[in-house]
Amino acid sequence: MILCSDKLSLVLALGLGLTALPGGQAATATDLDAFLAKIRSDQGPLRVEAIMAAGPMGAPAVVPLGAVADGPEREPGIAARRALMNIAAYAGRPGGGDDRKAVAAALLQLLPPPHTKLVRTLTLELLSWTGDDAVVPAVAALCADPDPDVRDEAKRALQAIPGPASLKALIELAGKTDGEFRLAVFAALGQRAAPEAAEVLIAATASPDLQTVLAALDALARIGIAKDDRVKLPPWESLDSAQRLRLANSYLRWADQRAAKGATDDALAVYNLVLEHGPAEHLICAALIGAAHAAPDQAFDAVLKALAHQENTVRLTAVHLLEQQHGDDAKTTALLEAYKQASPLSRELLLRVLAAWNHQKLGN
Amino acid sequence: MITPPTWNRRRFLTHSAAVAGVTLGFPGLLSRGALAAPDPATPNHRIRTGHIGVGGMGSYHLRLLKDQCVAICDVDQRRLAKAGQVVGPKARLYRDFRELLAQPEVDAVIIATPDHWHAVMTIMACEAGKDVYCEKPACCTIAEGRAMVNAAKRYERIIQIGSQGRSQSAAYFACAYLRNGMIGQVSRVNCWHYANPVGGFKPYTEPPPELDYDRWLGPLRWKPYNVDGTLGSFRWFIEDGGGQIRDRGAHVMSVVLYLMNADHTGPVRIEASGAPPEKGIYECPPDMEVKYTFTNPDWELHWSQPGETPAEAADLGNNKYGAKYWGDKGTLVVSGGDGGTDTELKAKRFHAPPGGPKIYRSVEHHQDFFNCVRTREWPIMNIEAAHRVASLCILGNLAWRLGRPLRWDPVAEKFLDDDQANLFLNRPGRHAWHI
Repeated sequence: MILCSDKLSLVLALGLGLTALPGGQAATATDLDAFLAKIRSDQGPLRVEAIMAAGPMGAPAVVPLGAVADGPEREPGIAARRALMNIAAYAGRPGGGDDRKAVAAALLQLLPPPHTKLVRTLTLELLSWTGDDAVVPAVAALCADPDPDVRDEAKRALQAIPGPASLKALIELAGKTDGEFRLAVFAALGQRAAPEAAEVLIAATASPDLQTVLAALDALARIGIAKDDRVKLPPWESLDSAQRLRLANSYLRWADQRAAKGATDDALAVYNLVLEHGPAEHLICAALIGAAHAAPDQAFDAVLKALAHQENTVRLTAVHLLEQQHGDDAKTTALLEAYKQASPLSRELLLRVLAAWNHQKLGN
Repeated sequence: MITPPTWNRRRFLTHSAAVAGVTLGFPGLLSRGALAAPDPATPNHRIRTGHIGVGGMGSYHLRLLKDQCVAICDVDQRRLAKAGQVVGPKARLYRDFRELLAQPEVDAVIIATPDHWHAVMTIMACEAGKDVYCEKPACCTIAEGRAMVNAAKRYERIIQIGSQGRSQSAAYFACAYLRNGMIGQVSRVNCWHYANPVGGFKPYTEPPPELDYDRWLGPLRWKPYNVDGTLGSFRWFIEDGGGQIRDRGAHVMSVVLYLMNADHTGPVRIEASGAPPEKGIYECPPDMEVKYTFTNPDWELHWSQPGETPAEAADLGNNKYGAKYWGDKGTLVVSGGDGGTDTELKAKRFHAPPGGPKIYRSVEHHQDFFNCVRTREWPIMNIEAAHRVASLCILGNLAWRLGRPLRWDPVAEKFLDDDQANLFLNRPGRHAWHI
């Protein structure tokens, strides 16, 4: 029996193609022919052997594999696609810089028609594993492809490919597309969370289309931009309940981002607004949590007050937050003062907090 | 000095309905009734559930909770209609889960969709103020899992992931046995499981009319419809289902992290091997070996698919998979990891001495969830723990996919010195779906 670790090493070695190409030599034309013959084989074990040895075959294998992947033979086509994935994975290994660039460049040749949609979309995925600024123009061009699935894969690739070129392409795209695709581009920009995207998103908040405005606000919240008077907020009365919820969540996300950037006043302004108007219990919880984390001392009174809230969730959130605070003398005095005015239940909650603080002191 | 009071949850629940508080109102956004006025006599009765995804495990949850179900959503019209018949006219039916989330009468959602929807739906449910019971595995990427944890914390929501093995009494007994040092310092855990299937031979076709394939795909990157690639078979694709290691691994390794008291951390190195299938469109390697190395304390976790069933498992229930724990004073076998978890007699007969480590015990997985919805404590398979379990599954698959060992920082949740691997921490959503 092979010990687990030995078996692991053996299969890892096979997976990295070390037995196929000892010493890290580049694949020769003969190697490549033999490799492709195995990929095209009607024998499953041979195809698997080739898939596992595919990585070091590198860029020269990409276009021939694309042809097999496009072809009518089902199993060799599957094997070719898996081999392409292994080539992209191997090329992206640490220290594989030149290989990665070469493979990415080769993959670009599989993007245009008449390559099949299956190959084109897989290629976009693999470019998101290997690509950099150099592949962005070709990928960005596909954001205008007639096929919506190809467009979406191109957008996904732009979101994933690191570097300034892909971000710039997404920003340009945000300014010139429309409809659902534009909302998807906004979402991608929100995930990138790059301040460079703020301008185009701010402009979009002036859109007459409410979905566009809400999507732009969501992305801006994720970026956590500084307050900007150019940001247009939709009138609260014009929104249905789901839209209000979405907008409130964006507000809170923005506040959390501002708090994380040290802009506590910006954050507290939102948290206090939510606490003041109390639109829904989970939003009050979020505002309490945000405020207590951003400025524990300033939020203390609000959290204390929440112990008497009508909603169980809010009360217990307040308890959890107070338990986490350091119960100094001033806070203990405030708690005891509140105890005098409190209902029986609130008294129990106050005692629970005092007990936690007491444990802290004993622990210290 | 203040003496800690005895905390009586029942008394607290009884009082909560009568609390006078600040009256808050906002047109169009309603507060939830269930938690404001719980009924201690029937603990689950007032927690009204909305079910998203009612095939497979989803149909099981629906049958179990049909009395409290008020809304159902599925992208398959046939499944939706069938589920509607199970519950009757009191349940509103939806094809779009966002409409279900907008219903104020829904207190908690039960998500049993394919894995690639878990994160988006769970996060949106939290944003809508719902508590969540979501099927395992929690997520498909590290970023998804962390975003789910953040959503739970941000909105103070309760999330229970459906790795129900932790709620089995055998898991608790084994945990008590291990954490009380009965086999000493554990240095290795071997998981065994049977292989992934080879298959997927049907042709690509148009989706059937009852299935909204665009919504089935949701955030998943586009792939052509194949009956062997959706519904019950999505499991055998790396990105969608992740194979046995992400399916059953989310059970078996959930019990491992529970017993090893490692819910807060992860491995520092992952190595994986396995050959792809010889034929068919299923992607996951039939046989797979993954080795996870943990430090502080030092131990190894091995996922062997198939692995050798230990002799001690011969008489245990559900012994087609499980884990063997190797300590410096002995060993322990826990079979299963999901609903049929079992362990050796020595653990079942063990009585923990007083003063030993405190171990959370769940009596039943759904009940634990509903209890926590009321107490607002985190359940046994809370989202942080579930994210860490799912991380193991994801890391194993990624090490296999990339074909190289990966070094992992479990605190920062990033790969060390591997830019490409770090690209896989998150994956862009299709259309505007995002976490």
